[in-house]
Amino acid sequence: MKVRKSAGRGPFREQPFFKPIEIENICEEALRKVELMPSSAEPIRIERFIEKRFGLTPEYSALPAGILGYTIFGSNGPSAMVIAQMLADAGTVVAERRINTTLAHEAGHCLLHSHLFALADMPLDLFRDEEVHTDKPKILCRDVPVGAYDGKWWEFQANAAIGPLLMPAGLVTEVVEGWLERGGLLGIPQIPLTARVAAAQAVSTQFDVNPVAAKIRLEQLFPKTNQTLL
Amino acid sequence: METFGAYIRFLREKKDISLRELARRLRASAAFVSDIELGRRYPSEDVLRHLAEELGATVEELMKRDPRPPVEEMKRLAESNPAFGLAFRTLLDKEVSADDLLELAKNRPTRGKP
Repeated sequence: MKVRKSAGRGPFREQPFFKPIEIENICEEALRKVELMPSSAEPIRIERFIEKRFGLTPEYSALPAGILGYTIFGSNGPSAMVIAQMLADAGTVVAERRINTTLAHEAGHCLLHSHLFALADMPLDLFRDEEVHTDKPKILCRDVPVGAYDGKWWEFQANAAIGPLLMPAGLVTEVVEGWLERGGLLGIPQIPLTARVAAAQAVSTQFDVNPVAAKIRLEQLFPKTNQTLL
Repeated sequence: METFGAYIRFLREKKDISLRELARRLRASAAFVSDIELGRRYPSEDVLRHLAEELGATVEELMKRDPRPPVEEMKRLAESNPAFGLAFRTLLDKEVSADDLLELAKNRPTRGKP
């Protein structure tokens, strides 16, 4: 992880940089530490992970429209996590899976950004929000279209933790093994274009995540490449 | 003494069940179970029985921690014996804490026992 002064990019004094592999390792290690890394492909108990790893139980409460959840931080790390009640009340498979990705996103903040709140002289005013009123510093997570980057690097990084937490790389590879082909000069495993939808569906079912999350995860692990290249 | 909600959370964690997993078993919403654990709501008799089953406790054990004040019972006592009315008022005037009361009750022998 590299760090640089934030230079006004958001409310933090520092901006950490993580390589994708670093985020993978941080997430996998965290799952192992609390014995919630399964030995074969199955849904990750993300809520239990948060309880065991951070010692807090996510709360389900009414939040303003467009806000999926938030985490309150103290100098010792996360102290509360709130998820939108409308997701919990919907009672559909899609909404339940949305809770999984929201919890994983918040867990990403806890794993990657807790230390930023321990820094002295934090400009707390930037964490105060009229929509969700608490006087404590928090990261408020809104419902943003997938793939949209609005300069909030901390949200981008938390999103990058969703895949590794809910669909660990090794277990995803097990699920899609049957579709993998060695391609290019280096024999890098790839999923052919014709099989990508089926593979994403299998990952979605196996890990209990929405198809769009599975599709993004496969893009991370097995990016579409031009077969004539490496 | 632990509150009802804190005790439910304690039992749930002891069984290694997450809040949503418990909600699913109870066929209730996660928000409802969250509210129970946070002391904002109290379950119906049916849910209480179901909770006890899922958490390996008895209904009586859970009911001991019922946080709701027995208002009707207190009214009845105060009407039948004015000394109770005075006693309740004194508790409020002297700002006696819940812990003080529980401590007093704990140190008293149970009725009917020597």
